[in-house]
Amino acid sequence: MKHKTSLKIYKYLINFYPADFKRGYGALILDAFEMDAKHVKGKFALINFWRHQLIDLAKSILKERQYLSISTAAQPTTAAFGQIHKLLVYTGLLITAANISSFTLLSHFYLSADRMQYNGRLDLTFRTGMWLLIFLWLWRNLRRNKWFSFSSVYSFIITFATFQTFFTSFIFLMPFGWLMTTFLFPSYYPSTSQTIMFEGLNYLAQLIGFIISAEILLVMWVILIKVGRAIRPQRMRHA
Amino acid sequence: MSLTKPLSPIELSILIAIGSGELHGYEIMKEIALVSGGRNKVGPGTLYVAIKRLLNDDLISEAKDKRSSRRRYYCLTPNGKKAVTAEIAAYQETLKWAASQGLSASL
Repeated sequence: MKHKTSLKIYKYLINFYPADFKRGYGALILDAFEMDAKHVKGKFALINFWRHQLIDLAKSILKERQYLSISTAAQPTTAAFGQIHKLLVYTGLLITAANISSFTLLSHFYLSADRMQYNGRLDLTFRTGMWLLIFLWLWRNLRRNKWFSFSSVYSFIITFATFQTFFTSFIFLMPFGWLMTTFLFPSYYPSTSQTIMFEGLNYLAQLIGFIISAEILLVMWVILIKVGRAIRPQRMRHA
Repeated sequence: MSLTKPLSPIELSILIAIGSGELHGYEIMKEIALVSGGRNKVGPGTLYVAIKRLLNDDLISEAKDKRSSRRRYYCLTPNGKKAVTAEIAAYQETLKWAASQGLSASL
């Protein structure tokens, strides 16, 4: 393997460093690596060289990420930055809380009326626990001021997934269903061909609703990233 | 001068390596490997993570006159000189203590 190939692989691997560190030191790290790689001759030397490099990369990436998480834990935020992300995370929290209550706790009351559905109850107990854990985890990250952490991404996805469900069900499917049953298939006992057509159109409507919502989600995601980058405050330089 | 953390062996090695003059990253790596007879090899990642911390703590600085797009040269700051002197003094105390216990490198 020529040192140019090694350089390409290493160039890819340094993407695992935090973005700020890579911007500041990526080219310098690459230069030092290239100088080092030029002097490697022979297969065994190359294997040994790469073993050393991979260990070094793994250690330094972990160290830098750990340093970053410590130095940004109490990161001060600008007003606009804080407000946008607060809104997102709180919306996520609210929707998670709504999920806990509607999908699980209320279902428990419903299921208690039918003792035969024991398996369903076990499933719901698991789901309740899961949602509760996610809620507590979100709350913990929020308290630690981690606006750009996984929790805000999660909140964002949950928020728009719920919007998507709302959009598909209430804005699109319900009027569509009303239109179908009132005008196109008014008979209470439709024929087989009518049922097949109805189901086919129903799935088509769901697919269209999903695609439109996915596009909205994508556009919102891009806007969030751009706004986030534009107003994001500088990282703290000192621990 | 207040350090956020004690100096690690790699950070101390970097400070000693650039003690005699301005060096860039690869030269520092080579210097450390050469002095230790190849036993202590520092990879580029570890080196620049340490350099970043030393820059943040104002123990080293970039030599402005030698700066290029590909390479940056580093030199000791007055704070860096104080830190390395204090660290060496601490090591000397430890060596004296080891000697008083009948322990030395020749054992």
